[in-house]
Amino acid sequence: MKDGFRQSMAWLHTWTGLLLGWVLFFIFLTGTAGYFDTEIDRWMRPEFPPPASQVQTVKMLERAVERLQAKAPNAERWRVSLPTDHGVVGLNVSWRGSGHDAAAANGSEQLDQNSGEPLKPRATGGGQLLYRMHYRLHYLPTTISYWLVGIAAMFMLVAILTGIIVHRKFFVDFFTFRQRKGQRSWLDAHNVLAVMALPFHVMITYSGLIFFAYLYMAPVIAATYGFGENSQRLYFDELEGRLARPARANTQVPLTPLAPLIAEAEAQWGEGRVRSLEILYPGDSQAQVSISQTPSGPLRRTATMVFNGVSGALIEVKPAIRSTPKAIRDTLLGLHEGLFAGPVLRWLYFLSGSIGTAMIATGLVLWTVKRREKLKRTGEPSFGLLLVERLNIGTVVGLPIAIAAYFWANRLIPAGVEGRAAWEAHAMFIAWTGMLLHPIFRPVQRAWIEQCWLATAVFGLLPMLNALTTNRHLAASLAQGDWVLAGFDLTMLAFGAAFGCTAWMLSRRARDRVTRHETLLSFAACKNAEPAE
Amino acid sequence: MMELLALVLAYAGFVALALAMNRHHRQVWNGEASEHTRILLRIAGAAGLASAFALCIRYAGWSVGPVLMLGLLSAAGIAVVLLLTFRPRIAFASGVVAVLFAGVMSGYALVTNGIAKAPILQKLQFHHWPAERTQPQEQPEKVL
Amino acid sequence: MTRHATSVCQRVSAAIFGGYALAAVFSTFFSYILPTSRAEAAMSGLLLSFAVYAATILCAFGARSISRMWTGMILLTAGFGLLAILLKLARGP
Repeated sequence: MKDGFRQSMAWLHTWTGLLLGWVLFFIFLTGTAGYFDTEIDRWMRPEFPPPASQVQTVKMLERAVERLQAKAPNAERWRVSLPTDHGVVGLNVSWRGSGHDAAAANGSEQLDQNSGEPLKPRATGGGQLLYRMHYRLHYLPTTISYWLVGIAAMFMLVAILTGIIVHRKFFVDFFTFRQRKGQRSWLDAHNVLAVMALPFHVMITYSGLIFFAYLYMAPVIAATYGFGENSQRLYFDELEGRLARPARANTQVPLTPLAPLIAEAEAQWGEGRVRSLEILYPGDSQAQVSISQTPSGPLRRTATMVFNGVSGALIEVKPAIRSTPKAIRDTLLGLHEGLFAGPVLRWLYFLSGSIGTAMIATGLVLWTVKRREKLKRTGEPSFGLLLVERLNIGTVVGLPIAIAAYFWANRLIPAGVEGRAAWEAHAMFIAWTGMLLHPIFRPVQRAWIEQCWLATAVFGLLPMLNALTTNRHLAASLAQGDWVLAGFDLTMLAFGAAFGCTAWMLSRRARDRVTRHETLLSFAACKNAEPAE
Repeated sequence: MMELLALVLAYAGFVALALAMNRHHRQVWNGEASEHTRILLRIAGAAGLASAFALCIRYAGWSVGPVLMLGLLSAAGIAVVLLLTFRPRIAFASGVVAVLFAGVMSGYALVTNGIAKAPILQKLQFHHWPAERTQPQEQPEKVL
Repeated sequence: MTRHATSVCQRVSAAIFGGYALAAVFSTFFSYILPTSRAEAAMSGLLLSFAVYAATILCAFGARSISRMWTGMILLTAGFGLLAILLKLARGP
């Protein structure tokens, strides 16, 4: 196309990066926040009791099953998820109906770990909604969202590969950041952010595509199984080994006591290592109890013990690795989700995600800086450049402000309001729209500074808002050693500080530029005035 | 604590590797490094990274260990870049401090857990490989 | 349209649509030749498909001449497609 392979790759890198750059920024930012989804959940439901101090697995499960017995005695399947898994907030129960009114008979509840009573927190999307946005987006139909995110991920994959090809001095520039050199500095920052977390970027992008590969590459499955929803279900059933399921006998037999089964599983895997429990046909003579292990590594599928639901006899132990390709897929997905990560590794995941987000942001800014620098010689900026500059401000700073607005809405919208949870999300997108519109009416430089100051305020004041609207303020949570809530408030303060520093730096630089300009002008004025004297 | 030790080692390793490069060597000391110094710094850097990696594998196992290592490398790498940008003069000193800190931490582990449980000796016992640890997160507490 | 614009348009469409077709066809072919169970084979095909897609996109933009790029892409897609059909027929319904 252009002369030379490297030039074509550079062209491809520029345009794949730019075209969906803002969508990718949204995906990366909400996804990164998603690594702390349960922590955000807790902050957004301050009336939740603090996590129970080590309630025994057996006790929790028995309470959950009692609740299910009362709520859905005739369900086809019950499921209990324990809070040992990072993706699970509190004690969760869900049930699935059977037959013609299956959808009506499905449901789920969140229980108090101590009492087994259902919890009724304020209606909120919580951290889960924020996390879901990174692949499900918002307002759009599910399938369209998946496709959009998939296309963006494919763009990202191509951008990463071309980026590696284009990067001339991968090792020489490994640690290099040259500040205050305009375009050079932006390129350095972009490169360093890309290189330092390259394995993460590749992993997160490729595994992101694998999540919905069945949708994006449906023809590959169809080539073996035929088209249609049923053939795809057959494929998943075969893959998961779900075909050999007994039929319901429709004879009422009480369920076997669960304590011995849990004891057997815990003896095998260690105490507190049970993640979930599933009961097929509860109360039927064909009942089966499956107990799954908590993952201890990236392989997200874990061993499962299947027991006879009447006699309590062990039927089989399904190993974690049932086939190689599936194990590869499960590992990729597990790496992507990072549910296995303890506190330190979770923060490292958060850091890597932030690096990815910043990489996208620097790339977007670099595009405009490059064109501005060229313009110094040849005048008028194009419409494209003006548009990209505005979208950058409204996304790079505007989207974080919108996420803060989501948190503000959580504290400010009264508990009883109709559609409360939906309005939290509306607040986020209204704020984002505002931030996207604001730069249209302001000079670029001023818009950056103003939005940065606004971000400083909304993040910095969030702990104060928390203190005013709940009794779980920073001092209280620090005193209680509640590091989830304290961590949230402290992180918000840190974000506020970071935006404040950026705003201060930008405004100082803008002032310097103005002063320099004024000095030059007065100097010129003096010079012009001289001959007249 | 183990993660901190590995982070410190990775950081020291990256500092050494950076100083082995002419551009960064000049930022810290005047003039370029001799071939001899460069090789020494590279060996030191590789040793730092290798010991960090060994530590990650030893305490987090072969499934979580590499993930942890890559995360720590990102953190350490960004830290080194920031240091070389804003405070290049103290780069070498910070690397030395990091090594000393790692030494003190290992020494503390030696004293509190007895020689046999010291990470430096234990990490050589690869006969555990590739057995999964049942409670990877609780492991470091006991040792350090 | 200028020559540059035509070239870009052709390469973009070759990359997006041609690349998808080649990736899907190659992954199908790959899933047919694997000796594992059919579910595992299809899974392997899915895992590989995006790598093939990405590689094809790079080739579509990196290729020296447009005609060579089209020829290569069409030949490969048709070739793997034909092989896949033959394998499917040989294996029976």
